[in-house]
Formats: sequence, C-alpha cells, structure tokens
Amino acid sequence: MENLELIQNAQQGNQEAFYMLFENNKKMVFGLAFKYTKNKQDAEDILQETFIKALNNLNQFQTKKSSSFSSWLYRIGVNCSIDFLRDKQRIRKSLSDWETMDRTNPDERITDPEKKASREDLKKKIELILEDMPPRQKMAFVLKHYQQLKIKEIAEFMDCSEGSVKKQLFRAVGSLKNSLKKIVWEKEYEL
Amino acid sequence: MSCEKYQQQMILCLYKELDSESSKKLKNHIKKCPECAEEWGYTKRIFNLVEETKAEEIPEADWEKCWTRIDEKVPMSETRTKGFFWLFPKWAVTAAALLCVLVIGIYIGRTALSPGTELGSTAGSTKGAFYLSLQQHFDELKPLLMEYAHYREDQNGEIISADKKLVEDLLIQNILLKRRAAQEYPGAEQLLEDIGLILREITNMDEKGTTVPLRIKDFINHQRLLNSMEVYQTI
Repeated sequence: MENLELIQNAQQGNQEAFYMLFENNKKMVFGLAFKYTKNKQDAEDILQETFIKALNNLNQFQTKKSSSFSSWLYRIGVNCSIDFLRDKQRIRKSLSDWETMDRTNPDERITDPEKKASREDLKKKIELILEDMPPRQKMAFVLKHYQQLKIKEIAEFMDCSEGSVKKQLFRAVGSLKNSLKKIVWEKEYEL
Repeated sequence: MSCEKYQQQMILCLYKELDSESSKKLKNHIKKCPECAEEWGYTKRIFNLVEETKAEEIPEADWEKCWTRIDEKVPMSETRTKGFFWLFPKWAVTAAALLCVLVIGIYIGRTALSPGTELGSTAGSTKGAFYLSLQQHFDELKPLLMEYAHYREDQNGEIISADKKLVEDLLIQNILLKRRAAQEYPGAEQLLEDIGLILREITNMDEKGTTVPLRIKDFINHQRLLNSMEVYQTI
C-alpha cells in the first residue's frame, strides 16, 4: 500500500491505515529521539507524543504538497523532542533550586584525573555537555552531527532561518571546544 | 574579515557547508595566521572526538507498548473502526462479505442443529464466527510458521524470505483478533500474543528479507504454537 493511499485513508479516520504509517515511520522517529535524549524511555515517550500529535493534526497534512509525510512527521518529532527536553530541563532546574544536586559543571567533570583514560568516559563527557545545551541548540547539533542533515533541511525542520541554525551550531561547537579544551591536549589521548 | 568570522567558517567547512570560494579564502587565511591555524587544528580534533560518539547502537523500543499508549490516548471515532477491508476494492469486499455470510450461515446451521446444542443460541453463534475467523487466520499463518518451525541447524546462514506485505497484513489481522479475544475469549489471547511477537520479529527483518530463523524456530517450538493452533482448528 502506497504511503499516499495510507495517508488518505488515515485522514478519513481509518485506524489500521494509521497503524501502518506508525509501522513505516516508527524507527525514524525513535532514532531521532534516542540520538537526542540518549535515553530509551524518554525516546519512547517522544515517539508516542509525536504520533499522537500527528494523528490529531492529520487533516492539516496536505498530500498534494511537495513535502512528504515522513518529513512532516519528522518535523513534529523535532518539535516534540525540543519541548520534551525543555520541560525536563525546567523540572531539573526547579529541583536544583530546592536541593543541592550532584551536578558539577562540565569543565570540572571533564578534568577529573581519574576519568581521563578511556574514550568511553570521553563519550560520556560529551553527552553531559550536550545535556547542558539549550534544547534548540542541542537539536541543531544532533541533526547536523548525528543525522547529517544539511543546514537548509535543519532550518526547515526547526522552522527557522539558515542563519539561525548556523548560530546554534557555532554556539554548540563553541561549548564543546571550551569544555573539552583541557583534555584534548592531554597526552593520554591518541587522536 | 575578522579571525572570529574565519573561526566560524571553519565549523561550516568541516561540515562541508562552505562554498569553494570561501573555503579557498579560509585556507589562505589559515596559512598566514598562526592563531587561526592552531584553532583549525583544535576544531578538527574536537570534530574527531565527537565523531567517535556517533558509533552507537540504537536500542529496540517496545513498539507494542508505544502503539497501545497511542491507541489509548487518541479515542477511536466511529469512522476509525472501519476495519481491515478498506485495503481491498469494494466489489471484492462485497463478494467476500456474501461468502462469509454463506459460510457462517452453514456453520451456525450445523452447530445450532447438532445434538446437544440449543436452537438459536446467540452466544454459540458469535463464538462460532470468532473461531471461524481464528481458523481462517491460522490457515493463512501456518505455511509461514511451518517454514520457520522446520528450519534446520545446518541451514544456518541461509535465507528465509517472507513477503513483507503478507506478514504485515497477518500482523494487523492478528492484532484485531487479539483485541477481540481479550474482550471475549481470553483462552485464545495468549496464543495470539505469541504469534504477534513472531510476526513482529519477521516484520523487523532487514531489507534483503533475511532474519534470524533459529530464534523464531525455538520460540515456535518452545511455545508449542503449531500444536495450540491445531487445537483451535479442530474445534
């Protein structure tokens, strides 16, 4: 069954057609959400939210338009991921107002001498730096670096200008450069 | 252009998003400016480090749980339960419906008129219709499951290819029957649940149509699926 036919049937309220659309696109949305959150449970939540939003707004998708259903869904996935992280960071911030959390800044974590040796640790450190980035900045970085999309495509998915995506990328790479400066020059790493 | 601008262009260059003219200017600048040359080397190192974090396996989500939650959160409208038959042309649906009425009629007639059965027992006839659908579903499933159940160890590595469209159709049928079983016939629910797991495993096979048949074979045999299906087919 062609996607177009499935979409039209789903738009008419056919549940099985929407189930097929879920089957065809679930891995793409989950992959994006997992790369963004690095957490299976969170990625599953984003996947559900994305498809619920898609189902509720299915009639807004125009089959005659040039954009494909996958792109439309991907855009919803991008926005759900950003909203999810924004909420999560807000909760984390409000918690940290009340209690002292065991979260030092990335610089301090990175220079811990006991944790220098392995690349696995380095990977975790990069993840921690990404975790601290503002949601949109992190999304621009994930879409560029992990999903290898063009800046133009990222701008479309994030509904902003190419210049804005570039700014987010400069800031994201800037954060990484600042936070990793001390360890990049350590002799232990064979680069 | 300032060094700061050139340093931003380095990022675009490493992402292959800088046009050739600007790339040329950037390279010339790096040759002349030691500070930017150092920054260029450092930025490349950072990119290499981040590159290493890319090699990461994406885990398998609990797809059924996710779909169930979506299904629960979005209430089904009447139009959303049109059924499975939209997949076929209208004339085929009409013909199939007439055939079903005929077959079910014969089946109910036989069941209702057989000794020990009360005439006009509606519970019996509904149950009969459900088991008829179940039997039909198992008839379609059996050749596929047999292929996996009889897979031999020495075939290891050989390809079992299944028609993905057919498997997806079977999966949908299975979901619909399982829902019905959950409400009215809990005895069949677990069997349909197990079959659903296998169909999902086959659906997730790679593009060439290969999968890991030994795992599926073990599951079919361990759960005695074919025997259980046989029981329903002799009802």
